[in-house]
Formats: sequence, C-alpha cells, structure tokens
Amino acid sequence: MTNGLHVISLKVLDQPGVLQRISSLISRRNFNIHTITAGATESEGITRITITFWGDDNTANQVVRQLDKLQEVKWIEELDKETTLLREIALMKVQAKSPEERADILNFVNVYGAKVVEAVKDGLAVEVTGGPKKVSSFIGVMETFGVTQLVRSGALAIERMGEVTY
Amino acid sequence: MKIRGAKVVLEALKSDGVKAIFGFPGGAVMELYDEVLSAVDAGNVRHVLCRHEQGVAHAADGYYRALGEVGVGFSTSGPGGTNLLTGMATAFLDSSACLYVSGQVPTSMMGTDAFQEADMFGLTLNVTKHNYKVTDVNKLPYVMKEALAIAQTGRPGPVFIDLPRDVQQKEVEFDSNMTVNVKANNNSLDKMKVKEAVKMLLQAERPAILAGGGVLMSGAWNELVQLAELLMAPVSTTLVAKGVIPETHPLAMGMAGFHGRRTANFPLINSDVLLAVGCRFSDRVTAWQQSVWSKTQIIHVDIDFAEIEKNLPVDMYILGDAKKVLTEMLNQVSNVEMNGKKLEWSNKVKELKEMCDCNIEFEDVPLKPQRVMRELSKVLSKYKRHVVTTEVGQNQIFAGHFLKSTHPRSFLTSGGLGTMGFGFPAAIGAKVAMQVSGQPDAPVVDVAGDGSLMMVCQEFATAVENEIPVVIALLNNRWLGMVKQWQKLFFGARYSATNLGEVPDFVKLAEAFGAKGEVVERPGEIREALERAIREGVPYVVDFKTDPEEDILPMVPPPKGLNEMIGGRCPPDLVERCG
Repeated sequence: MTNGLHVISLKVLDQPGVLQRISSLISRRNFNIHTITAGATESEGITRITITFWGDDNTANQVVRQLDKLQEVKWIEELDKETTLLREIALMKVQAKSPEERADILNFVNVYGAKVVEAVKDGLAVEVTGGPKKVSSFIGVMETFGVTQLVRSGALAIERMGEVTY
Repeated sequence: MKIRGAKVVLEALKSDGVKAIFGFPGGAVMELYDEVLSAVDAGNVRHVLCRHEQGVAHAADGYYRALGEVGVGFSTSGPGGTNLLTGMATAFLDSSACLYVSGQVPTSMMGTDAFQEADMFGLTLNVTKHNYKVTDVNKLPYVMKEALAIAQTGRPGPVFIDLPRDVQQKEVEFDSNMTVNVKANNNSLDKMKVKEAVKMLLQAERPAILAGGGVLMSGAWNELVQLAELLMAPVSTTLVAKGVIPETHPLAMGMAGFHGRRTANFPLINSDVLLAVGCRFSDRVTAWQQSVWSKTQIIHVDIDFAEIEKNLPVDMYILGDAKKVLTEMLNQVSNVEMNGKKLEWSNKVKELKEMCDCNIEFEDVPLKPQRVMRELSKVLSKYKRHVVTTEVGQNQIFAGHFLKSTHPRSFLTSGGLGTMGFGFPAAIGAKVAMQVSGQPDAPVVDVAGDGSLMMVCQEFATAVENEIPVVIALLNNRWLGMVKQWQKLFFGARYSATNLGEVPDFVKLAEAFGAKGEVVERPGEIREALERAIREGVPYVVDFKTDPEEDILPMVPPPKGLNEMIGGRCPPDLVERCG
C-alpha cells in the first residue's frame, strides 16, 4: 500500500442535507480528508464535489465505496492524478515592509502568474491559482516576506479532455 | 382524491403490505395517530403501543428479523425520536429493514428550539441507511414509497423520516401505484468469477464456509446447505446467522468468532479455501490477529461493495445477492469429483463437531446456563416454527454456543451494536410477526440476563396489554456477567460496578404487570417450567437462578488470534486437535 494524495470526484444531487450527509460519513468512517470543495456543474441540480486526502489505496477504495452507497451520489470515481486537471485558489495578505521587498514580491507574483488584487502602503493582497503544489510553493515564498492572513480553496478537479502522451 | 399527509403514511404502508406498526404517540404526531386509529379500525393494520420508544425501535426490528418484512416504528418529536436512536443504530449495524417515522414541530417553528424539537435529521444521519426531513407535503407520497423501497432493497437497513406536524395536516394526491427509482447494487453477476470460485472450491482439499446475516436476508439457506453438502464443507456462522444451517446438521459447526465455538473457528483458519457469504468480517469474528487468516484463500461474496476488504484482505470477491450467487454456484458445481482429501477433511471436522457437542447435562445448583440452553433446545425442537431472541452479554453467548438453532430467522440477537435490552422488545416484535402471519402458536423466547431485562422491563405492560405471550428465559445471576467475566480474567478479579445485588424479584415484577412467572432453581425443573411458560399463553418469566461463577468460554483473550482460545470445558483432546 502506497501512501499518496488521492483525488475523488463525485456528482451528487443538489438537495438539502447532501453535504451534511457526505461530511458525516467521512467523519463516521474516520477518513482523514485533506480538502473538500463543492460547486455547480453543467447540469442543473447536480453538484460536483472534489475530495482530496492522504492515504493508502485501500482507504481510497473504502472512501469511494462508502460514498457510493449514498442515495444522492450519482457518480463517483477516483481520478488519476496524471490525467486530471487539479486547480485551487489561494488568497493571502503579504507584508511589504520596504520598496525593495515590494519589488521582490511583485517579481515572484509575475513568475508564478499570480495576481495582486489589492495594494496598500505596507502590504499586498495576492491571489494565486494552480495545482496544489504550485500554490503551496508560492505560499512558501510569500511566507519569507510575512503572510498575515491566508485562505486556500481546496482543490477542484476535472478530467483532461485529450490523451496524455509522454 | 386528496388526503392529508398523515394518511399518506398509512396508505403507503398499506400498499406495501405492512401488517403491524409499533409506536408511541405524542404532540407532534396527533394527526398521524388519528389516522392510525382509522387504519386499525378498518382492519388494515395492527398497532402495538410500546411503553418506551426504544421498545418501539427494537420491536420493529424483531418483527423484521422474524418475518423478513419491513418493521415499522412511530414516535413523536424530540425525546420520542431520540429514544428511537439506540434501536435505529441496532437495526443499522445488523442491516434490518425498518422504517421509523417521528413527528416534528411545524416547519414554521423548526430551528427555534421549540418545545420537543430535536434535529432528528441530523441525529439519525449516521445510524440509518437513508433519512429524510419532509418539509413539503407534495414530496411525501414519493418519500414514503422510496423510503420503503430503500429499506428493503439490496442490503437492507433502517430508514428514518422526520415528519413535521403541518406536513401531516396538509393534503396531497396519493397514488399507491406510484413507482420509485431506488439506487441499488445492480451489479450484474460476474459469472466468470463465479466459475473461478467454484473451481477453487472444487480443487480445494479443505474447503470451508462462513455464513453471515446476508444469507438470512436473501433467503439463501437452502442453497447454502446444498452447496455445503456437495462440497462436504463445514459451515460456521456468525452470531446473527445462527440457524441458516440447522445446527443439528453434521456439517454445521456453530457460531464462529472470538467468543465462538472452537470447532467453528477451526475450519475458518485451517481451510485452504474459505467461502464467506454475506458477512463483514467484523472484529467479533476475526479477533485481533488477522495474520492467522492468511493461510486460507478467501472468496468473499457480498452485496455491498464497501464490505470487500473493509476489515480483512481477501483473495477474490463476488458482488451480488447471496441467493443469486449461491444458485449460480450450484448450477456450475453439478459434477463434483470428490477427492480423498476433501473426504478426510470433512470427516475430521465432523468428528470435531461431535467432540464439541459434549455433555452439558449439568446437575449443579445453582443452575449452569448451559443446562438451561440444553433444555430450551429440547423444548423448542418440538415446534416447527419458533423464535429465540437474546439480550447482550453472557446470556447471548451461552445461547450462541449451546442453543441448537434449527431454522433460519429463529435466532434474533443484536450482533453488531450489542444492545442490552434488545431481546425483550424484539421478542414482542417477533411474536407479533408470528401472530400476523398466521403462526400464533410459534413460541417466542427471550433468553435474557438480569442486567439487560432491567433496561426494558416496562415492556411487560406492552406484552400483557396487547396479548403478546412471549416467554422470558431469564439467566439470573445477579451480576453484569460478561463484564464480571472480563474483570475476573483480565483485571485481577476487581469487580467494579458489576454486582447487581438482590433486587428485584422478577416474578413479582412480572405479576405486577399482569404477567406470570416462576423461579427455577433445580435442573430437573427446567424443562417443565419452560413447557408451562409456553403453554400458559401469557407473557411469562422463568427466573432461572444461575451460577455467577460460570463463565462463558472458550474465548480469545485480546489481543490474540482465533487460534489461541483460552479456557472452557472443551475436552483436552478436542483442544489438542483444534491446535
């Protein structure tokens, strides 16, 4: 059993209590969830939920099979990370104590394709989107300047459209 | 024609063929109970007023387990609903098809901490197969139909409906022929896998079968016995599956598990191919050392994909209803070539079984529980149909070991949740099931302990008032015996909070409710007392004064494996041969 990050995607009926049901099951079964996100999809009445967690393959099977028993779960699959587009967004407030630091930060923002969404005298509010690793890496860099507040969205996932070749 | 929500509930039950409802009324189910009265008067259904909602929940569960038809329980909001919870969790862990409906404060007051308001939807989420909060009467007809279907489709389980009072009052069209679409385990049977499994079983030198509750639920007991006979394979059962193979059958090894019989555990871990059907390898079955299971190749048959490798790694699995899978196996197994090894193995386990069925005709005073079980088996063997329920603790395991179950759905016990106080109300439910299904003379006996019975003794009133003549075979040792046993074995005989003292007088207690009872202290009186209790036709307690020092053994001491059982009265040569 290899431990790794698993990505599970579900399409569920958008009904009252469905998120409560899913989070209750996760808690009851003692699954250790890393992130969970939910949002609208192309189909009306269907919500897509993405769950990521660290664990072995057996745990991943259990998460999928247990969730698949819920009446509202219409489709569920563990996504292969190689063939999946995984994105999250992070918002953070970064301290910029000097013009030099501010310039440095802007440089990193450029390199990472991040975006400044607000600037004040001694700091910047920055958003970054990308795969979880890129987001983590960017946050790591920003922390060297001082991050006073941070929020991450958790991952959204969708299967790639084309074949993946190496 | 439009009918009010409360009536929709009763009409949906009627269209599903429900013949009995267990319940307890209250302020949030006034309309529902108004309709109950009409339905009872019309002769559609029988209502049994229990004396506590936990009794309601267990009685509905017992009704399902005895009959195989959905058990229904009603309660009011708030405390009525929360009192159902233990019974609901019990039904959930043993996969009983039950429908529980509780009233709720009107939708306009929900969330205001109104009188008798509890978030029953939230509270029942984790102890039901599915649950509903119905806030729109237009959805109620579909919900009722769907709830009944979900409870009984695939792997059964309890379903709960939270029904606000205004929804009971409002009117809606109800079409009893409405069809619902329920998500079920529709996997088509993988016949190639069945073929492969059959091949493994045929080639096996030491095949064995472990049968669980799924065999009961799918009604696969005939197929199970046929297959076992063809393969000459011993059948061990889980506690809840007792009776799927008559325990008088030479291949029936009895209850397996850490509190199970030595001879039931032996084939599980000494076979070369093990067919496990409709069981979930709970910790009570596997004990604590999974490695001892690795010698055998396990074929796991279950309807629930999530049970595959949840608790134990297996070599192969087949998804499907036990009856369908076993039937297909029988189709393919028609020409069995018996190898000599199989015969040798089969003879060996049969011998072990005979050795294990040792003499338990103990003449001791105070009584040995084994002797009581022996006499109870003899008395019940005269009845084609009978039901035994148990409480939880030593009484349950004594029954598991020494009661000879001969019919499916004749042994009802809280195996998963281990709920003390299950047996008596479950017996009431089972007896009602016998009454409404034209078997009113089938005896129903609750094998009880004095600790468990005290938890639900108010149900004597239910049994008396509703003319439900159940027998309580009370193993009365004045201790919380199982906990005491553990304290004796593993805590240096430091008995903390397990002595129950001398009260009450259970015969007087029964009599106070209008039931009958008698005390039995001598082995020679056991059988006659049980026969009298059954014959009396009223709720009856037989208060057996049993030996508090008689432990239920053998058992596997934690954290050991199934191969390391301790103690017991097992003959030394049996112990040696089971190695």
